[in-house]
Amino acid sequence: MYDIDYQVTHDIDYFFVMQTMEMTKPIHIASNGGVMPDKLGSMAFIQKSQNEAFNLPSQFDYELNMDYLNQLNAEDFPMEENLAESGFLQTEHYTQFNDRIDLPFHLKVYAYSFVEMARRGFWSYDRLTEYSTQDMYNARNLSSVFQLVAYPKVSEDVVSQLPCVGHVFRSDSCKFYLGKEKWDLAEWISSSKRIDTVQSEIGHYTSPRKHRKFR
Amino acid sequence: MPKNLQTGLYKAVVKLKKDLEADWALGLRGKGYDLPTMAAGCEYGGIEKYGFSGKKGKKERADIIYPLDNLLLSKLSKFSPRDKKIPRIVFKKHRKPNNQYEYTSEVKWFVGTCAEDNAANLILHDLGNNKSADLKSLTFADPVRTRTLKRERMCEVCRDLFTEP
Repeated sequence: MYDIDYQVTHDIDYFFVMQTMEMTKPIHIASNGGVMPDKLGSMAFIQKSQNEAFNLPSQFDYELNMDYLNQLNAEDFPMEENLAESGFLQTEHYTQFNDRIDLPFHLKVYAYSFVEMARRGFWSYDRLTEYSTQDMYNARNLSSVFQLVAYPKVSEDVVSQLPCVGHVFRSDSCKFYLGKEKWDLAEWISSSKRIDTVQSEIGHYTSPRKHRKFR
Repeated sequence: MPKNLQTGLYKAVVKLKKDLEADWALGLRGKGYDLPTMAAGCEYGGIEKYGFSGKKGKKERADIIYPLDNLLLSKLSKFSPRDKKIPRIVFKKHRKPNNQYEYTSEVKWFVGTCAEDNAANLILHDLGNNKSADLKSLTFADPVRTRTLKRERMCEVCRDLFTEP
């Protein structure tokens, strides 16, 4: 697993597959400086799954979770003229939205990386930061609010084409150690339809061996 | 806060992403090649620098992150007076009902790796021996998240270090 200092300073893409009673969902999460569950596997395994995921073809139609995106404030994002010189408007990240004239500019800037994942077949989540507590710095890295941003349009004929990247977890056995309690990731993944939000107290489980090393 | 600094920051983030994507196209993914979470812009005496979250490690991108300057390090060390090791990780031992122990950890005083620190560090690095710059006199653009370009707030350690009198 990545060092904890690396995790909290980087926005890491990680992938796994959630098997629920209804269907198998390939999941992508943007860590946004959050502490990652140990259960995801070794660093080499995560790296391998990243390579697999990013080499997949962008073949699916996608849906955006507009209920969430509409809550974003346009003032928090750059305007079109701010990005004109940077070359962003000529990149594929932006031009993939050429047919989405209905979408405001700031949402295209926010959602492009999640859409790219949805087009590869993943339910793509962002980890949000919470500033509600007094201990803001720890809240930034240790809070756990995940939000579905984009997901593939799945019909009967494309279900079999969904990618299988990362570990496969059965929804009834997927427990991550976070804080003092086991945190059931499956609860919010499997129950999700369009809007997924969960909050939980977060710590980070470490083995006694690791404990001795740092002490 | 100068408007140009914010626009320059967006430009720096887009450039960083392009560079990283070129690395990813070569199959370079994993540690050292992930997006930094945050980016910050800093200006002092006409010098503008842009920094990204992270610290210099073996596999980090040495071209964007230098070891922390002594001035910055000494100011930062007041946030973790007992242990200058950055970051400091606090472990807690919990006894479970079946008399077994469970260990959890929290990141405490995780300082010196913010994007603001690295941007300020680049300025100090450029000033060289003439380190008369007070950290409070540095001007910062609003930090942005590199993935989404969304403006975020400064963390409380950086606010204390760079802005509050």
